Amino acid sequence: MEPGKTLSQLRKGVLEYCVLSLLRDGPRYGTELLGELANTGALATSQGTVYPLLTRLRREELVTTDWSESPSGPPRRYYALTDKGRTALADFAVVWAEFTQAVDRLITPDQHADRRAP
Amino acid sequence: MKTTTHPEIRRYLAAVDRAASALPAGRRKELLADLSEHVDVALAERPGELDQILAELGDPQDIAATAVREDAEYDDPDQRRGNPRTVLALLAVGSAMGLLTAAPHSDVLNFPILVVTVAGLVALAMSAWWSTARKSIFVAWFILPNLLLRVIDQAFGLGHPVHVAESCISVVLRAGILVWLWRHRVTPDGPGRIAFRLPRWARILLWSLLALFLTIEVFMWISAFAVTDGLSSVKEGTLNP
Repeated sequence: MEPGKTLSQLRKGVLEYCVLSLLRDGPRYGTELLGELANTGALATSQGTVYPLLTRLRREELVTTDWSESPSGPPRRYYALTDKGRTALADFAVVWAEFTQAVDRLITPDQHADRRAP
Repeated sequence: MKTTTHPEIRRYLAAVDRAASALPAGRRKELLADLSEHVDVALAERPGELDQILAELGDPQDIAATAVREDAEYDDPDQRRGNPRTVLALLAVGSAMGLLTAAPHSDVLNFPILVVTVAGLVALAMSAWWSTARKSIFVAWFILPNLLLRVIDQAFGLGHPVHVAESCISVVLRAGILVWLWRHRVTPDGPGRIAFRLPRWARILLWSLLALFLTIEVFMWISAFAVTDGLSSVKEGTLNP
């Protein structure tokens, strides 16, 4: 598997938690959220593909949306984390930490050498 | 809306619309609304950068494919096939109707009982909430005692008091096994539903048949009451001139 593809598959699985993480400190509107997502490098694909994900997160009641007037331009739809979303994010943080540790142990050659060494 | 007036945006949205034809209409509309709203806001923030904004949004095919995938991934617990509440409700209603057969004019009930019970058993068979072993145990306890009692009844032609005792036993057994089934449900992991969905026309056909059937049943039931009430009043008349 080429490195680019590996990375994109890894990103796909964690993207929704990146979105939830970005909402942890308060509601954000669509373009704002997507801009930050692109900046973090967590976005493997184009911005448009995040909207179907946001729709699912809303249906799963992990986020809610609310319209808000803007001083300039059209009204914006703000995405906010629900309690359920907060819990899901906290659960993921635990799982992620355990998972990365386990994978680190496996893929780091030094530690394997340690085990074999007398 | 402002975006729909710009031909380039309209073309982009139409491309998404075409590519997402596999999506249910409501979902597709929602996606298009999200995208056109994004373009609106982005254009207000960065006027004159339409090409750039559309390029960032990405390939319509990609967006549509993601939307179809996300829609399939979304698993509404209430929409899972063989929802335990539905299964239990059907089977309990079937059993409760069975109790009524002791009453007069109850022959009309036989067919609805059969339909409701069979529907309950089919829902149970398709449900992802119970293991096959538990389903088999349930079906055995649900059907066999009743069958046995009926066979004994037929063979020995027992009288009324035994009949009442039989009914009590079967009610207790039914209630017990239904409670057991409810307690032993297990929420399926992840997308636990069985991917089985009839095509739209078949669903419409089935539901309209069911509605028609229920209407006829109710009508027959009412008319059966009317006829027998008429008969009994005639009898009374001849007995007490």
